[in-house]
Amino acid sequence: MAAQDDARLAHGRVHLVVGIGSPWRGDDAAGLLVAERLAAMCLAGVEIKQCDCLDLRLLDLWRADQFVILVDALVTGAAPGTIQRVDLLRQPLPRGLAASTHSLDLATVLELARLLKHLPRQLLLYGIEAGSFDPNGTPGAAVVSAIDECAKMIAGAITWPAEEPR
Amino acid sequence: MNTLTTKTIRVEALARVEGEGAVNVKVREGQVQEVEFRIFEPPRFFEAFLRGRRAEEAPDITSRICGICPVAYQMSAAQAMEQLAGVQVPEPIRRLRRLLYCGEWIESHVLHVYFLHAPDFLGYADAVQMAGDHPGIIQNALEMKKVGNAIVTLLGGREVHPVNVRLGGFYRVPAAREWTMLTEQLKRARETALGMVQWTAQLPLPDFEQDYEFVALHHPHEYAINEGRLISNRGLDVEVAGFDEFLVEEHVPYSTALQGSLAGRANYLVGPLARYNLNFDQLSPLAQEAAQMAGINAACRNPFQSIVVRSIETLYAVDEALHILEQDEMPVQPYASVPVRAGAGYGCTEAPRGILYHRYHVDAGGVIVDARIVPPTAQNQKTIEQDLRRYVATHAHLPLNELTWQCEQVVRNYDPCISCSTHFVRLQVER
Repeated sequence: MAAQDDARLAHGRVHLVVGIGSPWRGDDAAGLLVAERLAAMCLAGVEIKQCDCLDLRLLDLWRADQFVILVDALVTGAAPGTIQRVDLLRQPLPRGLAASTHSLDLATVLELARLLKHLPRQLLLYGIEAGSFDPNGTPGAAVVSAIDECAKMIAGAITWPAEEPR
Repeated sequence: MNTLTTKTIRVEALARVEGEGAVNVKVREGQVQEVEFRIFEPPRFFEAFLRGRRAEEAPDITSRICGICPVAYQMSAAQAMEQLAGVQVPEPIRRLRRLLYCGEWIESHVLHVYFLHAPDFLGYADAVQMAGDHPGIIQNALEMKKVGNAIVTLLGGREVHPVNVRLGGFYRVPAAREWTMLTEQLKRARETALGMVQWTAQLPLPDFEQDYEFVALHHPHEYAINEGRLISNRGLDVEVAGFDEFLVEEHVPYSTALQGSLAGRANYLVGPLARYNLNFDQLSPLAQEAAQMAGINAACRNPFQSIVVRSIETLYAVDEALHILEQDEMPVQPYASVPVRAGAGYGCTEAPRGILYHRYHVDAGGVIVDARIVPPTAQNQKTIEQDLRRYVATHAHLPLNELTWQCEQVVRNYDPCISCSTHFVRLQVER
């Protein structure tokens, strides 16, 4: 199934990759660093963005007609550096407590996008399991390796050389 | 046998406010015994961080106190240092600062009205739930918010924690062509803001008229935002530098934010309701007309109606931003020189939630030796507790769940920014 989904990303149909995170909170920088790696690859027809916030501005980053990949740090209890891929249009994230507009969780922003009919045509999340969010810390070794691996996975998916899926 | 009945209203973690706070109210035999608006967010010690830093760093350091109103911190800090240096910025820079502030008012008020406050009156847990039934309303909110963001981005360099403000003005002033798109966005937003006033005015708002001492800035020629004298409806009328003599701050054991009151008087209220009541005549004709159409008088003493007043101020901020852009006079120099001078500097501007007061002592080398920052939410704490006391006193008969929910609403009327208010607490060590 994953291969077929990735095949759908081929032929320049992925328009946008968004790396989400904070550069100042250890492993939380993972999404931003994956976006940096991908930007350095200069992939044709792919727009790369970084987002250091999780609030309503996230909704402005994509258009409803786009194919979008989000990359963010995750906390699921898996080993740090574990990469997970989630099709967010099929498998919604659980919503957290949205008590303030200072920050929202990703699931809340996506639920709002769904209600406002502003979800993109395809929305994948590549999550990297984080181990530490220490202020001013840098990502741990396991997460740094995962950042490189995740960038390669996404680049591979985007440039999948297969035919159109049947 | 003890037949006394005690009811304790406890909100362990207030939702839809900025920061972390709680409410405790104890009622015995229908009489309110205790009221505590508890702020337990850890103190952030910004005044201490400022000591030893250079005067020109104050706007950027203090702007980090709040992600919702960083412009307010920048403006109050810059104004204090300029007042100390005896510098009055040229009129075009003054206007651009006002424009930047309008952007922040729009961003902040729109967030509070639609995302934090409106769900209270429509029975939703939050704005996401509300979006399910009213997607068009939330869409409007997002469009309005974008306009505020656009102003702050253009003048401040980025949407949150802007970096383009410096003592004397700005590092860079945008070129005339960069304003064109903003003007078009603002024209559309003006229509949406008119609808916002009408929409909030028809919400089922509780009747809760109160008698407050309102304190706000007042300027002789404009609806005060970034300068003026401090006035109240009970006779206070002082220049900003004189406010220190009136302002009393008190540490209560259940709050990490100092509570403000006026010396020899009592608690007071700052924010949209205070500005509206004290300066209504200086709102633009369009904003005044919208207020009248919405049935909100020039004297408005019901804190639940603050949602309408914020909408009126949003309309005013959009209207005023357009007015400033129409004047089309850009500064020749982006900033005026602000020389180093030893002494005390005072600044006060109208943050979205009310007056934000800064005082600095600077040495002859331009280094800050002492700072005092008094944010609006800290000043409103006692009045929030007074509202809770009075509200519960007349609604004690309600079922506990319902009363608890309504107490949360009483607090949200103030759009409290708890993160702002907890940057300092006096520590007393006894040995």
